[in-house]
Amino acid sequence: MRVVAKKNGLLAVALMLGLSGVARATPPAQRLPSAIIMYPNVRAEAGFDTRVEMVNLTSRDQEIKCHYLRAPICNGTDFFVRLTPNQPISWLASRGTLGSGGHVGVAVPPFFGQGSLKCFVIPDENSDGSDQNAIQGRATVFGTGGYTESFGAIGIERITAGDFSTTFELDGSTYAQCPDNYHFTFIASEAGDPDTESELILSTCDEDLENLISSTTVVQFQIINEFEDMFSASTTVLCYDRQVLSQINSVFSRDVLGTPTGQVIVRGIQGAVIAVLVDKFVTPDGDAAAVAGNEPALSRGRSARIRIP
Amino acid sequence: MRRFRGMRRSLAALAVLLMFSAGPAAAIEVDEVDWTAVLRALGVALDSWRLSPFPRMTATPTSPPATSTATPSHTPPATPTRTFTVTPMPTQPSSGQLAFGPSIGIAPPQRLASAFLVFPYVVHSGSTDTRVTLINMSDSDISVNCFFVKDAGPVLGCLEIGFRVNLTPLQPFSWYAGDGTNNPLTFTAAPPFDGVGELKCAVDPEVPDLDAHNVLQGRATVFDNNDGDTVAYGAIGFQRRIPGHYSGVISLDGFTYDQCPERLHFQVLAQQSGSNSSMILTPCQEDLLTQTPTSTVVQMQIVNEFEQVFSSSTTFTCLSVKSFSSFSTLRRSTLGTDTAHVVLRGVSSPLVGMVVDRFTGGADHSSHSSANDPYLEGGRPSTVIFP
Repeated sequence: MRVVAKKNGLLAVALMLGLSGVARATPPAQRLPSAIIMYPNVRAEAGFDTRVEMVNLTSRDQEIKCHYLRAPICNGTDFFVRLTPNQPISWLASRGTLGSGGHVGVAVPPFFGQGSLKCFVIPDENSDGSDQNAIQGRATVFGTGGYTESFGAIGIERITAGDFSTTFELDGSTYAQCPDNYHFTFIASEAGDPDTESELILSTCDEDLENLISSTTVVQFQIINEFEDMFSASTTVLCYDRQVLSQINSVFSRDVLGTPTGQVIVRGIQGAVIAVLVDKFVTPDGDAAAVAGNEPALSRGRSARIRIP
Repeated sequence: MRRFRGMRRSLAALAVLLMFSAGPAAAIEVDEVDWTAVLRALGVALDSWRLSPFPRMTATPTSPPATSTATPSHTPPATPTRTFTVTPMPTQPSSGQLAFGPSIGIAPPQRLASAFLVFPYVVHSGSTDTRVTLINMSDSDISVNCFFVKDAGPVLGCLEIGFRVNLTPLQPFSWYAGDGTNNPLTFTAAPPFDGVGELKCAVDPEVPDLDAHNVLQGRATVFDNNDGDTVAYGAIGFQRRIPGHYSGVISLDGFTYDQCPERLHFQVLAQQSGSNSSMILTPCQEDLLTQTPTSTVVQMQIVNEFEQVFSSSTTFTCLSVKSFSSFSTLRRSTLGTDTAHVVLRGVSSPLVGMVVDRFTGGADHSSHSSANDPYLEGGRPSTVIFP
């Protein structure tokens, strides 16, 4: 019994020492009602348009402030959307909407070019600040020949209740953090008719639209083929960019990678990034061109700050 | 002097700690504890330390705040409570707008490394095939136990085909459902699959650690070989919440694994000329061991853009793939708007599923399709039993 008591005591000391470790940063939970939603890809240019969808998942009215960010100038265009309880709303990016059809309090400007969209829930005067996790969204880019790429918005939950501020601290305390690592499975680039050429869409999580300071960051890639061989590559992104995988580095090509698919882990260096992939491949038996949005699995979290006017 | 006082305080704290940590049994037989020996041992330990251990422990250098911020959120600890998160309960104070009761559970967070995956839609039929992809997100070897399940009709019920996949650290692994795959070097084989069904995969770790369970993610791309029509989606993931061995019984109860979502929310395009989406549903509850098929009623609440609410319902067993045209309330002529917010709830069993958006668009009015993953609300216990 004496020995047991001594062991228990030492165990308690060991536990106390162990608990003093640093907690791990975690990525934001997805597909849940959120306070901030980030559409990684909006496109309205020759041959392409985007249907932007947003839905209020609560039984309260919601006031939402949104910002388009257009590349490569990295300027913001803002607007407000007011959603009644459980209301869905959608618009074509190239046309916007002017609140017709009963959408009182909605005026979305047209958008041209490529970029991203971020939307923020503004709690009303009756809110105690705890019910800001309210919305979700999705954007579907479509073009000629059945071209379709669709992505759910990345949701950031408000974690602690509080007043609305135009500076959003995605620090894991006020809001959930931005994802740090993005894990994609990708199809290796390969010449053909048509080519198999997937594209990566990157934007920065940090954003200062109040002072119009564009964020730039190096993005590192860790690539693993099906034989567990590991490669690396990198690129740089200024607020938003869309790059063909094989142009980032030849390691994404089948010849170098050695296998038809691989896993790529994407991570921003100076700051967190938002990343999605557009799979473009040729069907194996029919040689038809196929396109699909490829949403990543997330690991770890990283703090970021967004400032809006 | 201050140092001695500090040491005395530390000694007293440790003595109290020892008393508590000895547990009830030790408290009963406290006479048997040789406190002199214990204190002497502690004294020796403290002398060898030179400084009191408590200040040293609390003075652990903190990492830069940018990356080391403690996020109480969904860390993989054993405890299933996520007290930091504002639990989403959208329809609770609905003032009667939606005819659903309050939702009290916690929905499974998505796109994270998980222990159990559900691919609700796998097809190999005619010119349509599916590329299934799994990735090991850990730096350890893992073994994954998977089952294709398809509805074989009222007599045969839900038929399953089981297989195992072994993945090396960070390995991506993909195969065509119609072809299957076989690799004798890695003891990995996925059988060919025919028809329309679902795929469920659970991590079977070598060690019972929590980190060894939450390591898997997956994706499926359903495509038509002839016209390139493609639907790609991420698997619905459930994280393990406590350490333990894999037994084939996956308790989605919010304690062992995440709960199943209580409700699925979709934003959909109303059915009209040129647009006829499909809804794919599968029950969370599944007993493949005794081949007991799960049937459930699905209640639907549909909110149009004017906040008008409609309702509908359907019933299915094993798997349901239904086009919107089979629901009058999802037609534009009924809804009155181009899009709608659909809230689904399984009555006998919670559900997982997705919508396949189908519409015409672009300058050439070509046909488009894309996967429409649900937003999740609330949680509800459920069990999946593998043979």
